[in-house]
Amino acid sequence: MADTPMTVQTRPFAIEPITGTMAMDGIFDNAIHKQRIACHYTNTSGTDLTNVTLYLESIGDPGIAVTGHTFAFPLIPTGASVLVSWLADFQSATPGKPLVSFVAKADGYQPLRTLQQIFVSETRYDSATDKWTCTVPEGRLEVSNLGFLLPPNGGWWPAPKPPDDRRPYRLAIPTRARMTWIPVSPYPGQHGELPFQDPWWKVLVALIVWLIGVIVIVVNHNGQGDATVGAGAQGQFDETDPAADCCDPGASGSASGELGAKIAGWSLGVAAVTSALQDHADPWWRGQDATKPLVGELTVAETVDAQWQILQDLVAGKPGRFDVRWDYKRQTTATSYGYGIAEVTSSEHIADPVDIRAPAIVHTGEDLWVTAQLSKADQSLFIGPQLYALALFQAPQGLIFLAPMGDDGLGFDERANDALYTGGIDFERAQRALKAAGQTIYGRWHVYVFAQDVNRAPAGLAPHIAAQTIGGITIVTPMQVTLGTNGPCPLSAQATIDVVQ
Amino acid sequence: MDTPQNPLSRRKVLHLASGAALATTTAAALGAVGPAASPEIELVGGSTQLLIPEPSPDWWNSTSIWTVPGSDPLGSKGKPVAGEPAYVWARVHNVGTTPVNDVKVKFYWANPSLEMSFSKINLIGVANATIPAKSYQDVLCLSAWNVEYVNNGKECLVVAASLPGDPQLPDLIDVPGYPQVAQRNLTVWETAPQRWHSVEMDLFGLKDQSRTVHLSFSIGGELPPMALEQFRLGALRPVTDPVTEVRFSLVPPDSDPGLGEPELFVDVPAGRVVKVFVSVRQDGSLGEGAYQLVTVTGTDRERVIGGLSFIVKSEK
Repeated sequence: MADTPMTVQTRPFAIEPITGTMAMDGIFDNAIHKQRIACHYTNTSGTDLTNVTLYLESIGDPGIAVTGHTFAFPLIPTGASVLVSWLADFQSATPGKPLVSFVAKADGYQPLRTLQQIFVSETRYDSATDKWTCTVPEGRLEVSNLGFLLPPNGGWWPAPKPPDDRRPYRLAIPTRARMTWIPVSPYPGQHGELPFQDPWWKVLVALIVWLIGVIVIVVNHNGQGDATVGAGAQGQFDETDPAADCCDPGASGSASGELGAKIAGWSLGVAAVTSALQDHADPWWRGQDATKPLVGELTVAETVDAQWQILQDLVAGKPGRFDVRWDYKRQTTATSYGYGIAEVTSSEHIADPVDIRAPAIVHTGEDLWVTAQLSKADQSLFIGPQLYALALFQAPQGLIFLAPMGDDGLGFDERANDALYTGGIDFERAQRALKAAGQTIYGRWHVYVFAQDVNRAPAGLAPHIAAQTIGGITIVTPMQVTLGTNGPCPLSAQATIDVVQ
Repeated sequence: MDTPQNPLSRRKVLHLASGAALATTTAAALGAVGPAASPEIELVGGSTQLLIPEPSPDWWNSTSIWTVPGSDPLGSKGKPVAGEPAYVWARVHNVGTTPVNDVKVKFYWANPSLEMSFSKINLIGVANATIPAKSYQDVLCLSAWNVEYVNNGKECLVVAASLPGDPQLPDLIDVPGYPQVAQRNLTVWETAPQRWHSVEMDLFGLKDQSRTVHLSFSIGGELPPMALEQFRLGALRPVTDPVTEVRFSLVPPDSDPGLGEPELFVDVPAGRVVKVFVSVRQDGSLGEGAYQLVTVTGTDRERVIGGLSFIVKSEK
């Protein structure tokens, strides 16, 4: 009997369960205890598969506790990639690249095991030095002197222990950082080891920014206050023009809308870091290229002081423009070397145009759905496992339903890999939930779509080649950051659905 | 050597907390694991559907547990090497009529002893499995076993499978009593001719009462080809005429190799551990392509409480 033709083709990625967001480049950091191990499982055969079961068998780090679950699909179309994920506790995880094994079985085939690696880091904050440290097997990255672009006068800012009722910030775009990479062992030659032998060092910086956002959002969502992250986000901040703003969620105004706004805002901040510091080669790689130690010298640390100005409104999926200056310093056992750059950069994570559609009117008994079609920079379309997307359907009185959006030919999606990502909610299920919450299904629904790109770099690439592919960048979000104080409300539903009797 | 329990009787007398029992089995199927369907076992509702087969009468030599040495968990089976990682696998059967999801399989290693407790052995890792009805699944533990050089490299492996609704296993590892638990106390012993080699073995006392354990050994016999292949020793042929001697001693034989008796009665106080030294010597006639199977068993009032088996071969 042949092996089941289902496989996990690329590195599984981390999803934070409360925000629903993918971690920067899918890296699992043990600062977030509960995370989902997610992957796209692909039917690699030329035929539809029936009665498919998928499960996560084992993981190479005994400190990671996975909650076992078996997914069952009556049918997976040929070529389709289904998104599956398992909840796991990373509190005792060790930084490294543990293997994960997945097993798939379909009717008429014997089980097939797929092994993939995941990346696990450890980030901690030291309030005494106001420094974040991200540790990976190859070394640690220390980030300090973080600067943020804040809302204009009247905006809120957290304090370690707020004496008043100030709300936590939902928007803080990083614009400055001092970042020092300390390899686990001083290294000879020009180029050092990349974190996990794969992503650029700048990805760890973006991961820290993502983590700060998640911690703030999750802690405040759970009502535990924001003391931990509040102190970490203090420092010097750009308060000169242009200021940045995003307004309240508008008509919804619900706590869940606030959550969505925070998620959207922070994801733009993460994207800003990676955009400013470029994908094809980050400041460390370029600084290493430009500084060549003498034979016998060992590099003990590399510091990048970077700051960037945002020149255009920040819109997910658009290039944007950043006026960047960074200075790289290589400290060796003998001396130090420096290199600096001033340049204008833009994002390489493009989704333009983005076509989001939903039925304008839905009658009793009809399901609510939304589709999204995203074009890349070369105008080809994102398909199948190239995106991680989800939709928030907000009912007229505020209750939110989260629906994953897939291009897998299952559920609401008509056909796999046709570049239409579809998500939806069942009318009757929604009505039951709303009734339990004392809300009505009838009225105007708002639909918010989020999408992040997925790192699809195949295994086996040379590290500095693999590093040029980065995933987890938000390319669709219902918010944009406008510069200046009079910008329009940037958080707006990308679709509305009127549910009528 | 005392006659071990009849494997059929294990199945017949198996009682779980629910009071159900396995109904019947066929001896030929039990332990003779191949690529075909699971052993024919009829279950009464409420009892576990999981089975990790082991041979009879030497139930401590389960070939349903094996190791893959090195850094590639999908590599070839072989002997674990002290100082290097190894991956442990187990073949778990579902003998029920319905599929089982989310089976939890725990993998342990231990210092060789005849009777062990889960609380005293070392957890390597945990894996999940989903198994169709009347079928089996080879389960991989991706947490690498970092093989330590203890006891001259003689370690034991234990695997236990469970479903969420299964009754909790007792702390005392009872392989004959629980079909979802298996043990591999089979190791390779390379010996120089005419030289005594020894290994330390723990005898654990019962919780609340003392006991006397009778240690004895048997020589000869033949391992199934699968067991030898798991150590990459498939080409070896068994020598059935005794060419090895065995001695048991309560005193370390360091200064007096060969110290001990060919059988020993050991008093083990309640809650205590007594160390016993097992020494083996082969007379030099074991050729390069040969092995002799040496089995040590312990009995407590005629009940076999455990065993250790050694594939004795000549050093290269």
